[in-house]
Amino acid sequence: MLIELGKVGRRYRMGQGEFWALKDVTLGIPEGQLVTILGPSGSGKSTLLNIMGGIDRADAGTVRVAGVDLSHASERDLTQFRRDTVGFVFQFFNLIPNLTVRENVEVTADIAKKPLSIDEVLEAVALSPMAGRFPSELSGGEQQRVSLARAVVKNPALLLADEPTGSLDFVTSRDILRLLVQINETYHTTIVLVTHNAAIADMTDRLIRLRSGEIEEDCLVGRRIKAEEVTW
Amino acid sequence: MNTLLKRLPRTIRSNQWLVYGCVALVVMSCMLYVSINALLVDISESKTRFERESRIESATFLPREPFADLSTFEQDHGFAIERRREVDAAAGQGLALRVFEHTARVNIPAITSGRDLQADDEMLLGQTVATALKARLGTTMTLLGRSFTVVGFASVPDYMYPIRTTDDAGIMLDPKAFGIAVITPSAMDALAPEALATWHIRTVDGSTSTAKQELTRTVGLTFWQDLTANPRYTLATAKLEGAASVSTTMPLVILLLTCLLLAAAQGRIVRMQRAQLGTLKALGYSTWELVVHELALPAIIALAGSVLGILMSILTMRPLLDLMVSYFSIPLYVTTVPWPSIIFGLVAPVALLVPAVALVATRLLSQTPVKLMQTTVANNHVNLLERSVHLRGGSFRKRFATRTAIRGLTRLALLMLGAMLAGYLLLFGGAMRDSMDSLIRSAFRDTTYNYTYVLTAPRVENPWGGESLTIAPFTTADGRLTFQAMGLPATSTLLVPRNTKGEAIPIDRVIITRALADKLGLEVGESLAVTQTATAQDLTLTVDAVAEMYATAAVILPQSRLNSIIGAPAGSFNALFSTARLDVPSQDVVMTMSMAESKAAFDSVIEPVWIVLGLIAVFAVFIALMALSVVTTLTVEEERHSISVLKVLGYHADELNAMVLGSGIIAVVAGFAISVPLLLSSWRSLFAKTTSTMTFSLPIRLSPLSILVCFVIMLATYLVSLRAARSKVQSVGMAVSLKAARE
Ligand SMILES: Nc1ncnc2c1ncn2[C@@H]1O[C@H](COP(=O)(O)OP(=O)(O)O)[C@@H](O)[C@H]1O
Ligand SMILES: [Mg+2]
Repeated sequence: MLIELGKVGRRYRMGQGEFWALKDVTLGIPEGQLVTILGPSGSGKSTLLNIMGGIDRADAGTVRVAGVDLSHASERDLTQFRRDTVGFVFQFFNLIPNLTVRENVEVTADIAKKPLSIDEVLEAVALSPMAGRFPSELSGGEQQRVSLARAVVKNPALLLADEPTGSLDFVTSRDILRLLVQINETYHTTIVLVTHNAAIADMTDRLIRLRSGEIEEDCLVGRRIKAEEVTW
Repeated sequence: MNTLLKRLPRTIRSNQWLVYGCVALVVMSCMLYVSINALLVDISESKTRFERESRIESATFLPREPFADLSTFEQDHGFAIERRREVDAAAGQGLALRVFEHTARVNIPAITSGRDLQADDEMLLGQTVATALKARLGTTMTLLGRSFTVVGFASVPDYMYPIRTTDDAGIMLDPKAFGIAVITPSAMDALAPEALATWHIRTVDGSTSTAKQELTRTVGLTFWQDLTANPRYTLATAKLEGAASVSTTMPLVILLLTCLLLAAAQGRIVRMQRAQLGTLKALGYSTWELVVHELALPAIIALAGSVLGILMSILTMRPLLDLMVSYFSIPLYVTTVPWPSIIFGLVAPVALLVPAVALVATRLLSQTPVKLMQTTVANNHVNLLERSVHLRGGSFRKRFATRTAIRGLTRLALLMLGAMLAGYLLLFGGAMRDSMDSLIRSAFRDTTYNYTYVLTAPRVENPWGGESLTIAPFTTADGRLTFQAMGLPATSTLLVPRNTKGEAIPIDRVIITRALADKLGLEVGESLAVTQTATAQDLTLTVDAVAEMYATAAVILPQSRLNSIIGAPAGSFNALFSTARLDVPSQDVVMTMSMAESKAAFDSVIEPVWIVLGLIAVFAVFIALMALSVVTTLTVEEERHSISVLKVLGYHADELNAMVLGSGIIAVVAGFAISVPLLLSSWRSLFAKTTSTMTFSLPIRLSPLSILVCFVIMLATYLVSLRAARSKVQSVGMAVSLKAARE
């Protein structure tokens, strides 16, 4: 198993009281799997994903990813883990505004152990002609492709995508999804995809449904359809 | 790391004004600090070299008998002894020159400009009088009927502070009325063969006790004065120390305050990037790498600023030095680079800015990436405040303005700090003006006489008119301050001591002037231990009242009491005050002083302090302007996103200006209000130190008018920087809110 979660909980303080955004989440994800986490807004999807990626900490339970015990890891180990193991794609892209497209990709390549060729990755996401532009000169879909390229260039074992299509239109979204599947197939990258769009689950291996911070359903998808066939 | 560095030039370009403003702030405060320090180092080193190269005397004396074999005596003891003749000559327009013959071994005149004497019809003119009269080389002067060409300006070490007499406790310099000149010994032979001759001795290590013993044994002494007891030397030292203590404290305070303000501003720039930093952290950058990265900009600002500032101070050093030297009457031997202050000026901004920003960045980046990416600048505590304000309702615009203010509570604190710095610096100029003004007014308010005559001997009869009094010099027990005791008749009308309420204090008790009270830290009821300067007799007086006189340190006693203290005949007097000129025969007067003369003398003492302070005040206005504009620019940068959103929603530029920038005015007013007491208290301690060896004390005053003027200047400064910020508000693009929404 690449990811092993045991009774994971995440608590937020709300004024005087507290509130569990995640409760007793236990699951395992093997290498190479393409997983969808589905759930209504506020159900804890992002929280779960952030804990898996080592950018947030659980308040209860155990988190093991790629052999690293994230719940007890030091700050230093967490950084090393993020650097070597995970790639992130965010809903709002989070590109560095004063770096060009190419430089935004380079930023992760710089610190990766065995980065892929930047040119190849840019080519793969069809951004080569725009390599010199700044994020503010790109459309939303283009920005998300940069974000994807940035995550992929370090060839991570785990790719985490939080609503990567959440702020994109249908056609552009399908483009991004196709790229994700392609990455999964080419590099055997484990991908966890968060969405509130049920249709997307059909193109993945497994569906985990969250509701109010708890796993409501966890099932394998019978037959994975092609990204091009997804519609909503 | 390499790629990340590419952000730096772009960040600088997109925040040009902010960065330039910060650099300019560092440049100015560094320049001020280094220049002033360099100035004082050079001047005090020049003084040391002047003393060494001009072979300053260790003492002046008059032998009882002629030396039998002077050169053997000198060789036996390692002394250098030289006789010097001097004669006073009128040089026209009320100017009296004390003409010395050129010496070769002790108290050698140092040429400050022009050249040394080569012929008997040439003369050197004292630097102080040359400056005061704006004299030129090559002019001709007639002294005692012979004409001399001025070939050079010079300083004579034992007349560094060239005053006519030293027994006057007021000891004031009026360079337009009195100065020195040097001619060749053969010219002196021809001019005044019978001139007064004094003897000057220089010992190897400057100590004089053996020399005094040996001379007493060999030739006997009728007069002896150590250099350290010579006001013409000690007052020059006091003047230099006075200027030094004001001018090293202020620039240091300014430099440190500037660094503090910049550290705060830079810390905010780091916070502005929290989402980006969070993303980078999520991508695998370590806290340490990001902190180092964030330190690049403050380090560049600090270094660029301090290097430029130091370069500029080196460039402006020479003209500044020339200006100052003329006020200290010391030849400029040294124009060194003052390494300690340059190193401090170079290191201080970096050393203060970088760790401060590192602290902010480390604290910020120790949060999880999620938290960094999620939340805006506001933290939960402020959110609570925000929510409570929200309840009050009102128009959205008002609420937004209030909320911007509350959200940026720390930013407002920064603006307040900026306003405080600016206010402090501006008020500095105001307080200086007011204090001087009130000093001069107090000096001439209580004295309605125009002339003072000091007689050679006590008298009982007064055939000349005026009001008679007794004066005698006293010295404090520690020997640091010599001041006048004035014995006044109870009927005195020309000098009336007054208390703080302006009421006359009856002259039947021991009254000290405010200047003396400030200097010695005395209050009513405390006792004052003094030594009578002429007889070395000790005496303790109990202070009964303090008169509000700042210009002279003095004790006022009933005339009969002072007469009995100094052992003068009962009912006698030795000085006269008068409103009109009196016909006192010149052989009976030691000294005459007119009020106009003493005012001029007073001005000349205060002048170097004035110039240094004026220089600081000019810088202060610039620094204030920069400080305020840095803070307002930062405000716009931080609100970029909201501004953009609101523009999309259809708000006009005017409305946005009021909403984003409107709240600042309160902070500006508050900052200014705080700066007033801050200035007054820091000034009091500063000036107590500065004037402790001078005979006047500076009343610290700040008039409402000055406060108002400073406030108006500051407000104008703030509005100017707002105007600049406004054009920035206008230039915020609407696309900012639509694209890269959470950059
Ligand atoms: N920093 C936070 N403080 C308080 N509550 C939070 C914070 N972040 C998220 N939450 C709450 O936790 C719950 C889960 O959030 P999230 O994981 O972002 O949901 P999702 O991504 O499924 O929409 C939500 O109810 C949200 O309001
Ligand atoms: Mg979410």
